[in-house]
Amino acid sequence: MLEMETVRFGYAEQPDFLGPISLQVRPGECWALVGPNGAGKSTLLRLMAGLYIPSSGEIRIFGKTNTLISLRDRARRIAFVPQHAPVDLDFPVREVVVMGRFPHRSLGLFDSQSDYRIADNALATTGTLEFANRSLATLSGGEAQRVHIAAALAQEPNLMLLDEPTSSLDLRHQIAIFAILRRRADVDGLAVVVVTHDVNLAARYCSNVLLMHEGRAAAMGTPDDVIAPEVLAPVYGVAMETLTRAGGADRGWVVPIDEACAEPL
Amino acid sequence: MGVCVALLAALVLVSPGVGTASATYGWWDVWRAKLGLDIRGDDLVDRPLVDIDGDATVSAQELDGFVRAARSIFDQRFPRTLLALQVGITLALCGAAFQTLFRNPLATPYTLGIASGGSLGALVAIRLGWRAAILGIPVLAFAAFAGGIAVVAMVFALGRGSIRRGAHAKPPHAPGHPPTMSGRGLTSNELLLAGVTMGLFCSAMMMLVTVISSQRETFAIVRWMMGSLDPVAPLEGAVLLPLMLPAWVVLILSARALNQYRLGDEIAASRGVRVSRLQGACVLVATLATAAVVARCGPVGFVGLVVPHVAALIFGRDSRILMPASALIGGAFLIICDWASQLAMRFAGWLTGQHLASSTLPIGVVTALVGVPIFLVLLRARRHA
Repeated sequence: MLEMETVRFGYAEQPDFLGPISLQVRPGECWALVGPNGAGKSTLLRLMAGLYIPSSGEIRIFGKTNTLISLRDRARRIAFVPQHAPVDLDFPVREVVVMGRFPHRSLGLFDSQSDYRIADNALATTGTLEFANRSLATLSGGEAQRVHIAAALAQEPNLMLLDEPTSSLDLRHQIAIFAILRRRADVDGLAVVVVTHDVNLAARYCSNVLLMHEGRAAAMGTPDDVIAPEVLAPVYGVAMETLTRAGGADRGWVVPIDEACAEPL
Repeated sequence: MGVCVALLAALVLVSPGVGTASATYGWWDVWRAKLGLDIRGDDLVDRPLVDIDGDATVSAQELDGFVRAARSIFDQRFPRTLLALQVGITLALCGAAFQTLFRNPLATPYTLGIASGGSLGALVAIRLGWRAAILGIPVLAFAAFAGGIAVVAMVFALGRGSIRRGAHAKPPHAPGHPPTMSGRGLTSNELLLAGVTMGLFCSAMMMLVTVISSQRETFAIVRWMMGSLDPVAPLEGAVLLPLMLPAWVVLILSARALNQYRLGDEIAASRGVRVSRLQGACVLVATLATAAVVARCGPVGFVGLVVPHVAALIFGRDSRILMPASALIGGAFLIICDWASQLAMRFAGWLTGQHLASSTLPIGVVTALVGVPIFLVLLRARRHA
């Protein structure tokens, strides 16, 4: 569905910041982008979203390159949830979510009944239906974040790109959001790319992981391949180990060793 | 919303009856005269103005004179009403649009420096003694228009000067880092700053020109800057409307996109909004329309700032409703202010016993004096709700 071929990208100060990166995201896959701060995860996500244009290489969406796909077509297929979506907007929550239907809009200034139905479904999915008539500004940061995720779900895309969607969420909702995304991927064939710092949630719910380091792909593969102490430790710069449940057969949790983190930076 | 439209229609209809001429011509009289409806002698018997020879009957001649006078009153007042309507709609709509585009509740239609540039242009025209008229429109208005447009052009030229070479993007921004306005590396705050800077520059230039001006010229510009709806040229409606109409159409049709824009440049772009095209189009049409207003009436303040907030207090911040509501409330507001400007002097004359009824209070003064209490009342009502 989404193909990146030797994509490079840079800013004015750092022309070789990112790349070359090549990858393919297929329907039903759930990708996690992990890596240290400044590794280029958010940049890569924005390249996928079409918000940035690569300085070299090609990005194809459903076979069409960046220049050939119309803005509206892309908007219908790809939903993007940034890390810091506005939370102090004095808009009713239901309207914020219905606004996700914009790429599918019919002629005329107002949304249809089916648009509102889809929005309500999305609100229910993220557990925010109770806030539907409240102003977004009255919600907590985490509640508002779930509303923005609902808006992306209402957009009914083929590919969802989320930048640290669980950063403000409590423990329960962190797991819930990943579970929702994975279920959508499995059942509806949605492709998902999530930038996250929670490597263990990523390991449990994602089918593919890309580990980034200084703008390059340090490791790419299944969670078993990438979310392992020997792979993560050199990149994150901290010693890590795997903790497993006594007698448990599951993969356990990869955690940093606290004493190692206490060393001066 | 329907209430707004009805209210506005009512105001427009009643308006020709309000004014500085004597009370002999009530609003129904002037409409009847204009529409050619019958006015009979009995209607006029007790009006001293008509019964010239004191014989308690009205001759055909006197009747005719009355109708003609009433009709000319209508012809003086109705254009004022239409102009007030147009100006009110334009300023309120542009104010609402700029407050959304700049993501700043204090933005006004004059934020990019149109009023300052317009005033400078008008002052230069006054100082150079340009008194000619093209198509009946004084050259001063053209100078003010040119000044307003020139300042906005310079503000954007300043912005373009700082294009970053190479990648057209910045690193993904953290909170506190303001989003970009023109996809050229200039943020909305920087554009505001450029507008304010140009405004200060224009003020300085005006002071310079004033130093070498006569007293009469200085007073002329001060009076011009207070704003005026007084009729100037017969063709002005035909010239003004093509400048204002694009703004009305484009801004109201952009309401959906403006809603998306409020979520931030990135979300809007990911939903298919061409952000820089939206900004460019809105700023362009709003600049043309506002410069036209300033050229015609002088910088009428307060409308563009306050009316959108009043509309938002009543209708909420959905641009699809807020923009039309601002337009209607703005039009109504300015018509009422026009009444006040005409009646204020008559009231003052009645208070002091002097005959001041023929002059009007400058509209810019009235919009401020009338607008502030209304806004404060609504603000308090909102806080208690």
